[in-house]
Amino acid sequence: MPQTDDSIVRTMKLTKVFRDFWLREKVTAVADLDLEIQPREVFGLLGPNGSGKSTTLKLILGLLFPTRGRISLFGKRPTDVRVKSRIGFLPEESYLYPFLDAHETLDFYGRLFHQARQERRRRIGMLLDMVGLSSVAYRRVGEYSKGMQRRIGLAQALINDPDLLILDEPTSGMDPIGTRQFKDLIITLARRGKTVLLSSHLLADVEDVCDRVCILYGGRQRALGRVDELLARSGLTQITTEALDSRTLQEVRSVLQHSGKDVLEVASPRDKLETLFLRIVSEAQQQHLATGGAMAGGQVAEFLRGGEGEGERVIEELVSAGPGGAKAGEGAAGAEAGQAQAAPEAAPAPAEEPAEVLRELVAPAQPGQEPPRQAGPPAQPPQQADQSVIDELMGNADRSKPRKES
Amino acid sequence: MGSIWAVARHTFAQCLRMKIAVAFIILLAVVLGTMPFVMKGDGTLAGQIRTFLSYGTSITSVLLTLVTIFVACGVVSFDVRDKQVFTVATKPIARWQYILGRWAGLVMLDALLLAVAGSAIYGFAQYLRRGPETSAIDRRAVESEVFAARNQVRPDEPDIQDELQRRIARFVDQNRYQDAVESYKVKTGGDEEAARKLLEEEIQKEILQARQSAAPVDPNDPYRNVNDPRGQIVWRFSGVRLEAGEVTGAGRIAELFPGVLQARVEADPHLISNLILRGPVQVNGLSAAVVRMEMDYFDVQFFAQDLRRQELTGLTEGQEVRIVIEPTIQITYKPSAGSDVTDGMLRSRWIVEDANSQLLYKEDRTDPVRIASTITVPARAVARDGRMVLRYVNFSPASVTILNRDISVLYRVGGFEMNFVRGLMLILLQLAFIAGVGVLAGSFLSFPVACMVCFSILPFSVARAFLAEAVRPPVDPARDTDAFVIMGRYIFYGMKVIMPDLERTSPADQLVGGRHISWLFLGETAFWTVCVSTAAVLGLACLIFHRRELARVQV
Repeated sequence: MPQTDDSIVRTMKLTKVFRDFWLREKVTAVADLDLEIQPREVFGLLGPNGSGKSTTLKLILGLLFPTRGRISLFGKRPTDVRVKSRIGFLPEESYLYPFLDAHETLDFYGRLFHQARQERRRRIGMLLDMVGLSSVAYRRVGEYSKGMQRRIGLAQALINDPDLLILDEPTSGMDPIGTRQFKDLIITLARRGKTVLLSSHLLADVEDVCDRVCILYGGRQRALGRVDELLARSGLTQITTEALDSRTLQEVRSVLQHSGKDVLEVASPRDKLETLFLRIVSEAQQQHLATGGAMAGGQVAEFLRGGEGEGERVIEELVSAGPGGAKAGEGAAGAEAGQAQAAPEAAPAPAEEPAEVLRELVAPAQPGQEPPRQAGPPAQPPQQADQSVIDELMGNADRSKPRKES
Repeated sequence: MGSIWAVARHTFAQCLRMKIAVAFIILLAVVLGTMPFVMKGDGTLAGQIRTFLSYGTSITSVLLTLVTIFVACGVVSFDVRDKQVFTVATKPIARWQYILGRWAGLVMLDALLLAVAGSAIYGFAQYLRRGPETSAIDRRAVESEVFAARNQVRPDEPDIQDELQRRIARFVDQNRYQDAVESYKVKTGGDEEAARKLLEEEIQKEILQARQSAAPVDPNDPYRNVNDPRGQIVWRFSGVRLEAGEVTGAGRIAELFPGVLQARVEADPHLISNLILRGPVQVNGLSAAVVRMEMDYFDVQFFAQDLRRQELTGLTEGQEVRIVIEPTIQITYKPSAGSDVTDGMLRSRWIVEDANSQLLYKEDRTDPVRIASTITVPARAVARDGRMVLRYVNFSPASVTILNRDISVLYRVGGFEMNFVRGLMLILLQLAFIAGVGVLAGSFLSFPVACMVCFSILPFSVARAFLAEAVRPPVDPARDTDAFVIMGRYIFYGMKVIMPDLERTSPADQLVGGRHISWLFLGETAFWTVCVSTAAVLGLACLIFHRRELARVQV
């Protein structure tokens, strides 16, 4: 990506060497890392354990000082206090004060942003609703489960409606509902023009939400680029249709063979376990079964959705009534979603002749509609559609979930 | 400021939730609750209350010092160890604000705990105050020496230059002066000027010593000393400013003795405790002298000249009367005897003279050797310009010495309550400094190491006089060769610059002795302890914390 002056985060030859007590160089945690994160970008740092992801984030946040190289955050040094009013940070574990309850925790962090009492209270209420902890707001955080602590940790990171959200292993310890909401939230924030920098080794999470990723290994950058570009398998094409009977399938095969293409795999798409889980929990909640833990969170807090008034309503509509097949589209309320997976839009255009055939085949399913990036419940797909056939055709059954637009 | 306040509030809540306050209060309640019943002091009520105040304030001070060190070392170091600092340091708060907030929260906690401890001590002291006294003098000691705030005046430095010159002249006349100088030249390495100076110092010491001693002029008739200056010690005081007014109250004429112009007045023991035997008192405007004092009544002797203005018969038995007692001053002293006295008691006469009017107040006394005693004197014995002359006449068969540092005049300038509050504030200032040291140590050390460092450097503040003595260079520079002592001395000098003198600013002695703690002293202590020492310590903490990495590399 070309370097521009308005980048939110920029590192130049960033190096962090860990020294022992005798100042001998022990290990190089980050080496010559050049990153540039642009506004409104969801950027993922990927890598195995110990690859330097968290160290990089801590360097960016000023919690560690670089051995060499420079970091610029909103054009300033990371230790600049003014910069921090625009940042929200969720560490890899929720390092919270166990003696405070959720309300007090958020109140404390809100005070550090000099928020007026009324505004603080308003935001705390909304955030607690959003992360599903309203009913346990006055229980000590020390008594929370790990996932609940992650939720309150997330809430504290959002109390200032940050321009840059830095998330270190954000979904670790979270249940699938929380994970899903988390991803929805990131998408909502990105849509509002916020920048998100996250590190994770849960690749599915990163793939779902990130525009660009950097893969680290041994503190060094191994790959950097758009998710779509990095994941694209240009040699294959995937088609999703309603269920096909064996005769139609045979016709498709023969058409393709006529064009000299082999069908590598034909399969019916399966629900993801995540989708199944979300559906079961949603049903349980509809039956008002008791639980001592976190409730499914509510919708994204109003102040994080950007707004009040007209704009808010528009987003609300988008969020709640969007069509299915959106990226991360199986929102909290969308437990029944999952079958209406769109074909990967990033697939390269196939040769002209087969393309025409395919257009005919898939015409009823209208695959050309690009799903908007939204977090609401997906549209109910036709139950009889046998998408597996197309997936098999494209040899891409495992990638049957939707992709977001860039 | 908002960020500092937020962290301070947070720290305060954290400490309360950590049950530190509860543990402290329970411990204090047990100690203070049992102390009045266990400690009886010297058997008098005043002694018991003094002992309680002394131990109460000391124990509070020690307990709070321990609490403050542990908490102060913990609040920052635990935040770093448990990584809670990640979420705080990434908020718009400067690290110096975080450090100051932590410190301010600790001071708030100390203030709260001190208020609780102070209330408990005050409550128990008031409870003891109502207890049975052993005598009217005991009651008076309780009211005027314990539950009071008194200024202390030391005697003026005596002018001995004339006598010094006289003695030197006599030496010269006797042709002994040059011999003496020659003998001192051995000590000064042949330097004659230094030898003369040393000789003069020796003579000065001798004169001062003589002036602080009273000889037994005639052991067979000790009362002859009244007329012999060798059997007397004289002190001059100035600057005794009497601001406290008279004590007034109500009484009832129990009995009249018109023949001897006396009356017996019943009154509250607390009021009676303000009287002085043979001291002045007014009964319904009639001047009288107290001739007898009991727990709940006293006898007065009216003066004949007053009777000419108003008939004593104007008073009737059973009549309610208004009693006005003049303010008093106290003289405390600690005598020592040059040789053994048979019963360990020293007999003496004390004469207080108004330097201008020559008005006299006399009191014959018998006091124990080497134990501080107190005489209560009518304040009118002090001249309006604040000067007074005090004469001690030795009636014992042994010579008696009272050093200048062992005698002082005390006069009431205020009540106990505000003095007690100021005393607590002095403790708070000390705790504020200790909290600063704890935060500094915790800002770069782990909790146990930080605690150890605090306990290691605290003696520089609480035992400063002892350490100063320990590292004092010898008179002869040639003997100053021990490298460790020299190193220790310079470390001590360095620490002295930063560390406040907590021993000097401890209020226990003042509170126990009923001595006034002035706002000026409090302000001065606040300036040096907080504005200089604590600010320096916190400044260093902020600098270290600003420059340290709050996270650790984990790969």
